[in-house]
Amino acid sequence: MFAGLLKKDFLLIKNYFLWWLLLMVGLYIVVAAFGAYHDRFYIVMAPIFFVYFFHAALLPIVVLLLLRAEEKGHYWLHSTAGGGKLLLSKLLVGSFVFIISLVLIDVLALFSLNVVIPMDYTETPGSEMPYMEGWLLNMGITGGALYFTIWGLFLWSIYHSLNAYPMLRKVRWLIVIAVYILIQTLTSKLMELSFVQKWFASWTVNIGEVGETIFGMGGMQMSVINNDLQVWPVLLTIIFHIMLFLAAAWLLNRKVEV
Amino acid sequence: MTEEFKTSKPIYSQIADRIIQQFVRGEIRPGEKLPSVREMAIQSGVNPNTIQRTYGELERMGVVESRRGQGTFMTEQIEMRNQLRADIQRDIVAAFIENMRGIGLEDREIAYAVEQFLVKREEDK
Amino acid sequence: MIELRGVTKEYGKRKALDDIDITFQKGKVYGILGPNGSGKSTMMKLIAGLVFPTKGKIYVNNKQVNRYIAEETAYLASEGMLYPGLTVAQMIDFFSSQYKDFSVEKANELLSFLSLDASQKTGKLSKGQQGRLKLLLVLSREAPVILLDEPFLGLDPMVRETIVKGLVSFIDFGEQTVIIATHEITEIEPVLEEAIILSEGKVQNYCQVEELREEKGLSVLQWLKSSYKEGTGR
Repeated sequence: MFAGLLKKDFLLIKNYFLWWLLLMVGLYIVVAAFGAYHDRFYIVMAPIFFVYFFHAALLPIVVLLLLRAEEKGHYWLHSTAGGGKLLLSKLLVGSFVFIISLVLIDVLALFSLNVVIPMDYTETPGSEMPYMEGWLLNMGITGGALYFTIWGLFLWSIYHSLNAYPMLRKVRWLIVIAVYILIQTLTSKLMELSFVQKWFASWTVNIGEVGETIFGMGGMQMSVINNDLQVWPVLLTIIFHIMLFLAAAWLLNRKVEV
Repeated sequence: MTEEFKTSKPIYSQIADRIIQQFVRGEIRPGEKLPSVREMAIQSGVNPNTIQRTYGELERMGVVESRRGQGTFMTEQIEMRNQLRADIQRDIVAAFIENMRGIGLEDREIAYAVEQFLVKREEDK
Repeated sequence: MIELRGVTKEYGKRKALDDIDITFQKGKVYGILGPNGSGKSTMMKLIAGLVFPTKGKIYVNNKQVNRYIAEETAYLASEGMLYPGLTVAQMIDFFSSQYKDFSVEKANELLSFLSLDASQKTGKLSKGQQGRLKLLLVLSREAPVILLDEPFLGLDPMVRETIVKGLVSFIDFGEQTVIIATHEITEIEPVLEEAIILSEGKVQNYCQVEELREEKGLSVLQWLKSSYKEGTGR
């Protein structure tokens, strides 16, 4: 049954997916040809970076397209698969599209860098390939994409749960935004509490020389201080987003009406 | 061929009437196998339970007989056909007389009207 | 068997269904009649587990209805249901992967009976073909309950007749309980055993189709019209 869902969801997105891959390759070839002709091949790096960052939006866009395909009539809910499976199928198919696309842009980036670095346009120290940075970029984008997607699923479920209340129908968007802001505010307030901070500092892992970074995601944050990574915030972030996903599944099962 | 049904009579008996008429007209021969309940239901676009009732009714009347595991068959008795024809004839005549009386004609006038009609048609030929 | 016990469904202040008590017997064919907005569609969705009652309980084969009742009810929705980008064959494939009771053999028979082309995209099908495909998907399931919500909506008389023949040929009468919500009753009437008129969320009238003809000399359509008159005359 789950395989059937995956197959259906893939078929729903297949054409968009192929067009997107073609578009990326086409765009790359055009820019690369233009750059090579003018002896400035390095300009390909600009669209590559742009497309990299666009990937954080790609996954949520794919998943929302997949959800949109169900919005008319919501027949997908007449199913023996529960909300969890229905949403997981969307998420997995979206992730498949996302990963293939990301790998493709990685390949294009590697190829371009192989050409560009020996030409000495960039200021990479020692003209080495920036593999480490590449990994971090991939991880960061994947993390961001998952973050937006999970939130997207959750807020989408809230939006459609409100369908059953005609009074709230017109202000559905406001409620969705309010829920988002409320949860964000609550979690960030929670993070600021001193005992929470102490608790976070109680378990750290040394991850070597990466300097000092703190980056936050929706009230959650990853902190690396003195090369020590705090473990609790990472775990909590993962758990929190799994819970958001489960909440979305629950809403889909119990509250979304056709 | 989904047929229209009259509203005044149950569908099962309308289908029974139809089968009897086909039998009387010779469209269904004595001893001929009738379509199965399902086939008949599909042909007529009605619920199979209705056909079940039609066949039951016809069997009660002795017009058809159902043989176990073989299906439903038209009766082989020729007299039955004559009797059914007589029944239909009586029904038609009764309805006709009813109508004629309804417009205020005496029995004598009705008989005369029928006679005149038949004579006129003969002449027209 | 399907039971609705004191079922009320409210949308805000509007009552789509108002304290309904009905039992649908196993193996019978029911018609749910009534004007738009009378609650027909809501009743179908409630039984299909797609909408939840505000008050009251619904049981299908003694199980209280929730989403998972889809396992026992095959539901033809008046909208949605088909993915325009998928072909007829892919739709059949998808349905057979989702419902254990889906018979591919039956689907193939229906495919030729309803003269559909398996390789066509559902988005490219005419309205009549889409209606037939939806029927195929539902009738291929050997489910104890079949719910058809407006199966004739927007279809011409020829297609409606084909659909009625499809129903008569492929429903397992006596085993499958069939509920048809419609306001196009001419073609479907000879298939119905019992009919219920809904009006403003309440059961306004009920009849057994053959008894209606026998005792009152009325067709369901005439009965429906006279019920409306009574209803408005109150």
